Amino acid sequence: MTLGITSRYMLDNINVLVLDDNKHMRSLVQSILHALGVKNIRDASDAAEAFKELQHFHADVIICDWHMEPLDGLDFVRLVRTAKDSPNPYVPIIMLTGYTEYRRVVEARDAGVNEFLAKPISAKALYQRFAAIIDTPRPFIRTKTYFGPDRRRQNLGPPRGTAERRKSELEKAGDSGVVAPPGTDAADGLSQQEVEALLGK
Amino acid sequence: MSDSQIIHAPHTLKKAKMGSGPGKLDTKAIACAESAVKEMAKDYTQWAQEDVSSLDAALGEARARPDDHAQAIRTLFRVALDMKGQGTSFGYRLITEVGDSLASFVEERKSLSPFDQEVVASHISAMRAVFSEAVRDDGGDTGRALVEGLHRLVEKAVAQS
Repeated sequence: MTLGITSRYMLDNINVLVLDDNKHMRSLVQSILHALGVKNIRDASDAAEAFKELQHFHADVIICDWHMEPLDGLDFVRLVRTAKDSPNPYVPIIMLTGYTEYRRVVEARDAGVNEFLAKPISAKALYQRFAAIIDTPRPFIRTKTYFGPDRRRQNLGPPRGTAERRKSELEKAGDSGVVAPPGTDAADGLSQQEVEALLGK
Repeated sequence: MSDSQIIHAPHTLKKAKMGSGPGKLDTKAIACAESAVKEMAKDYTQWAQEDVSSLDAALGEARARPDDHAQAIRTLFRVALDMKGQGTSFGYRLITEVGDSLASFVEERKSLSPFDQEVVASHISAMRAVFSEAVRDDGGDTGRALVEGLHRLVEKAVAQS
């Protein structure tokens, strides 16, 4: 008789820090995390508070909003990755944001985020980001201008919404001529697959 | 010699997995999390309408201070982006779409002309209508017409600037 062994995630023994300046968003993320089994959650409403929290809370994962003041999410990511007094420059960071444009994803990747999750979020999408971080840890790269997870690039072609992209899509569509019309989600934002590819997965 | 250094950081999240290979998504846990979100949705309309009031206050500030719209624009963008990021999670996709339209519109603006202010006011009215009529999801044909109408207004304002 063969015993089937299925691997599974156990989120009950990890520490998660949630950084968002919107209290309702923090509550939403924490509710989802609790329901997914995460027991140790701390939250912060600004980047300075979050960085201070990291000095005594050993976060295994950070979930971080982008649009905040006075320091934004990218400032915070750079602080965690490169500040001399950063307690854990390697901690996986999930950037949670309403921004989904190509340039934004590239900017987040270049600041050193591991995962990019577009708001509005769902429980499944957040769970999948945790699974990705757990299943596929990436080496870190240090260059003169970058420190963070490996950003292996995949050739995605020209950014969506550009004339070059339309031309490329028309060429690929061939006889069918089926391409995303301008103004649709597909033409204006990135698909999750493209976001993942940009992040080097 | 290469200028880049590869560092294999300790995989501290090994402890979060039992077994090898890709893990199986826990559908029960996801369903439980979705229920928790539904529970929060009961309060969503209350705080979202407070957000709409914040938008209204920011627009009022822009009208009252014709020479300095910077703070009003920052508030409009922040609140609209928050509303975009929350609506769909709680069953109000139309709020996400209207919030997206408003955030995109004000993001690059340095000041708000009288017509720009009307465009902002139309977005606020649309959000109020969504909540007063309890329009869920994308609002069907009416919702689509509403969003298309807002997009046309935005295009007109952008063309004028």
